[in-house]
Amino acid sequence: MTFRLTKTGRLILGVAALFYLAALTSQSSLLLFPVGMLLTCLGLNAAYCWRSLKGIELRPPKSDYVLEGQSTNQSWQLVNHGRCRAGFLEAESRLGCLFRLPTLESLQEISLRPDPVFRKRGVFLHSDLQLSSIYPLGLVQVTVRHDVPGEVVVGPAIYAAEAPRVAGFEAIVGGKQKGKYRSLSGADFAGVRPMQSGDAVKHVHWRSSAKGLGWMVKTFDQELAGRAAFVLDGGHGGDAEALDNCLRAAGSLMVAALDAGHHVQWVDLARLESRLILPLADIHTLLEDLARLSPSPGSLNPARLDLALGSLSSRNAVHFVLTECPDFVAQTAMELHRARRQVTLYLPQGTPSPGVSGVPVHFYAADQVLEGA
Amino acid sequence: MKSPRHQFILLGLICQGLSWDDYFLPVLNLVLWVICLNWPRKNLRFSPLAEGILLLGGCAAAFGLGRVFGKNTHFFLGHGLTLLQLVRLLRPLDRRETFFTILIALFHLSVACTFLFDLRFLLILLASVILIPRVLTEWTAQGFASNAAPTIQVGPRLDWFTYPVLVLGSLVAFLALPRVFLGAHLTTRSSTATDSGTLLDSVLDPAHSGLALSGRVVMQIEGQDIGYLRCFTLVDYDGGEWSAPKKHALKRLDDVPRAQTRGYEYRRVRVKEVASLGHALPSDGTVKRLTGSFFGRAYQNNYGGVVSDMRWNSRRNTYEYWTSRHPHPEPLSSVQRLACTQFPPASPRVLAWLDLVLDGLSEPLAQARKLEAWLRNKFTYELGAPELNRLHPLEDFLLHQRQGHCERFASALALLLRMKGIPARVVVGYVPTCRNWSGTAYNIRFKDAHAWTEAYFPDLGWVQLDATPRAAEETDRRGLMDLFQDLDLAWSSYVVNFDGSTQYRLFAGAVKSFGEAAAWAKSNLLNVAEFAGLFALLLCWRVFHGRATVRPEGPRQVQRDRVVAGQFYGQLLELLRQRGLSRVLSQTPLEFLQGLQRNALPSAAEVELVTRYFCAARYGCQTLSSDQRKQIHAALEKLATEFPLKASKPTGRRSSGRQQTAAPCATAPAE
Repeated sequence: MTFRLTKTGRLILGVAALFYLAALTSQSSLLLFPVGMLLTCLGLNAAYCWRSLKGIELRPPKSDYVLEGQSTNQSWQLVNHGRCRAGFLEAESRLGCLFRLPTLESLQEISLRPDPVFRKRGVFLHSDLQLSSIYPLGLVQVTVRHDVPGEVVVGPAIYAAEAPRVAGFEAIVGGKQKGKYRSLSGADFAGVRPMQSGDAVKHVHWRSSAKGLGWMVKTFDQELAGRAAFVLDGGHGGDAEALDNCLRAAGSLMVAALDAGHHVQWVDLARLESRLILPLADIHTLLEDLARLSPSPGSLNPARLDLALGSLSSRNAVHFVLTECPDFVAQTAMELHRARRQVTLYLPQGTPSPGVSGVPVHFYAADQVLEGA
Repeated sequence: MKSPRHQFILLGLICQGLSWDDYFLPVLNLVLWVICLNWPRKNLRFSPLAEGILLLGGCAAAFGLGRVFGKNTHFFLGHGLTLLQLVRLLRPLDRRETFFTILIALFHLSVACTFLFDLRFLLILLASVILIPRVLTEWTAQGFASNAAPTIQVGPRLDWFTYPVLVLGSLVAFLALPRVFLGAHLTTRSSTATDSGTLLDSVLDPAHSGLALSGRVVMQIEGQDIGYLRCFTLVDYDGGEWSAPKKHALKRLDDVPRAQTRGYEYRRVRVKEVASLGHALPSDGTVKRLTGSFFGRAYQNNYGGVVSDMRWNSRRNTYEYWTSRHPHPEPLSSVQRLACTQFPPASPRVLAWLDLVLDGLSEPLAQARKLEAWLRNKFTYELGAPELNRLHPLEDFLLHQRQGHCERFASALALLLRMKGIPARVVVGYVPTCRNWSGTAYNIRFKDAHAWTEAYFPDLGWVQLDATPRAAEETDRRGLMDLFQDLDLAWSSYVVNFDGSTQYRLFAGAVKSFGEAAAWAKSNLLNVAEFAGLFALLLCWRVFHGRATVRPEGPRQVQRDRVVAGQFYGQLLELLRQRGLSRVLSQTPLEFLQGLQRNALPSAAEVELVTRYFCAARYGCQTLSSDQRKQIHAALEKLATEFPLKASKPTGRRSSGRQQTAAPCATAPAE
């Protein structure tokens, strides 16, 4: 618990000092009464604040998931176990002021939603949460550090992006790509064909069968899903902002791919753990993983790149979403291209073009993916 | 006007107004404050330059008018700020301007602390104790509410103990903060004039002045067997008025060695109204030595009066002297004898009256005593008696009016004695009649002013004669005003004049007492240990008992009462359902209650009681006391007995829960 004077408190202390000097030069010392009053106000304020914060229990949600630019939807519980009224409460974390509460009566429990918009990707633990009060006079601020379990996971902002190229199409129920073949199940009716051995009765198209052409069964457009793999360099340069931009671009591309009904596999060069996300799966895990990435300088090297590519399925289209583009990356991309793999490079805006013929290169900014060169 | 800030501004304006005079400017500021606050609020905004010009104009006007009307011009800046405060009351202020107005009000309050030395300061202090924390709370709350949830009301609610603590803190600061007087002495407003003539006019006959029966304390004197306190000795009489002799010899009293005061009686005087004394230092008897804190040198003239040269108001206006009530008679010089025996030609009727009264007495002292007794017994003391005949005042007084105040009696006796060849003079001063509440000293008030006569006899010296009837019948009566004056004097003596030396004595005394207490504790270690043990036991009992009894309302208790209240409410719903009144799920308890009240339910009061307690416990996290539970029980029993069951029970499925019911809805949801 720390005590400090607020700006108003310092001003009042200055006024008290002035009054004291005036009292020294005054005919009578009656000015010491207001001096004492102001000093007592400071002491009272400190006591009130201490009493306010003594019984306060803060119960944030154990985990909360938001994206950059959003505020949390989950409410926090604040309980005053003390016998006295608490007031002018302010909760702060690394993000700034979370909420301000004018009063909280004794034994009152209140739910409230933190105000701030999370601007920065990352994981914010509640252990660095500070609760302060200036109740009631605003002269002294008492701050208490609340070591409560829990965290707010702030994923990268997801913006609209064109779905990346995919490869390795395979039939899947609910796939959004139409194949050149027809199947007995699907969402888009394609026509009828004569019933063959092995067709189930439930596939019979009764209307056309009733016309006397024989037993006909329904056929549908084949539903396919592609595969896209993303290779992230984990903030090779150590620049946190570059990594944030990179992860926003990667996250947006992956979400766009998932929205288009494709499989997404991604690997981070820092951790070298490939993750597969099926289409229609919840992207919550993906965003949480991206939120927890931190800059890992030196993670982009040929050996790690080879290991990362080795962990990915060879049927994937490979997308390098990087913060830098060293020469060996360009060479690897060219080798993959020559091996008839779909390869795309996504680089930060302003990066010189790596000169890879046949390999599409796109650039990304903080909030969009630009058209390729 | 309800805002504590506005009230604090008013307090500041009144304080500033008091620096001008007691009534006019404070009342004017009050009226302007009311007008400005009730004036239609427009978003007027003066530029900083305009406000600066306004401030300077106010300062200049206050300074100029103060000089013209003879008022105090020390605080002209405060008057300028007053104008600024009033102008700013006309419009809404931003946060910074609001705080600036608070600072100005604090400045005005500090102004009052430099000149307001009477009990009115206590009122100002009391108002400040109440208003300052409220003002700061309001200001902080306004700043906090701007970003906080709008549904939560913020008000300056402070605990009751805030105010006593503030008073205590002020007192401790006043007593404990070190003080050094660095500035020059300031002159304060004098309440009365300082020359002897005016003192006679305005004090001795109080009915003709604004000091009628004034109980205001002039000074306080400590000592044993205190006699009449002489201020002025009036020797010269011109047929109409008495006056002090123009020329007299002076003898210094302050440089007399203390060793020469052995055998003399000691007096200590604390003066409250220095200005009212003029240059005189009231003293009884013949003074041997006199020193004080608020004047330069003290002298005694050859007529017995003690005067000082330059004087000022110090923090402690005190003087002390050593006196002899019965000094050895000194011979009267020829000049003095001549001055003390002159009188205007007396009328034959007065001489005849004199002979009649003395009835052949020839011994001077007997003559004097006879005349003193005659005037005291046969005449009447009367304040505000009619004016005496200007040509023959003595004859008019003795033969016709035969009443008046002390000055007439003293003057008449002195003239009658002079007619008989006895040197006589009139003395003006105070008669100590009333002790203070603690009985340690005499309070000398304006109403104690008195005039008496002194006559010289060769073998006795100057003998004091008091012919005034009132002096003999003076009673020591006390009233509320006397108490007030005592408080005022105590305030002046112990608070206004609390200086560094007093503070040192106080702390030295405290340290000494602490040392003595420590020594006593050391010698009585067993007793102290017993006492400490007892106290510790008491404290432990208080703590544990307090936990058991005072703080039952923990979260667990709240949760428990929430469940209990739900059970009570379930019973209520069941009772109502049996009587054909069912609550639908979409209704809140209060909506259900309102529906019942609209339908004029016979036991609506009981239903309301149970519902209110349920809501308070369920949603307000309040606990249920044993009394409240009894009330709920009683209400449910009353409902069960007095509210008749419906003839045919509803056929719907019986509800197992307290809120689930399939019975038809008897009340409509509240709108």
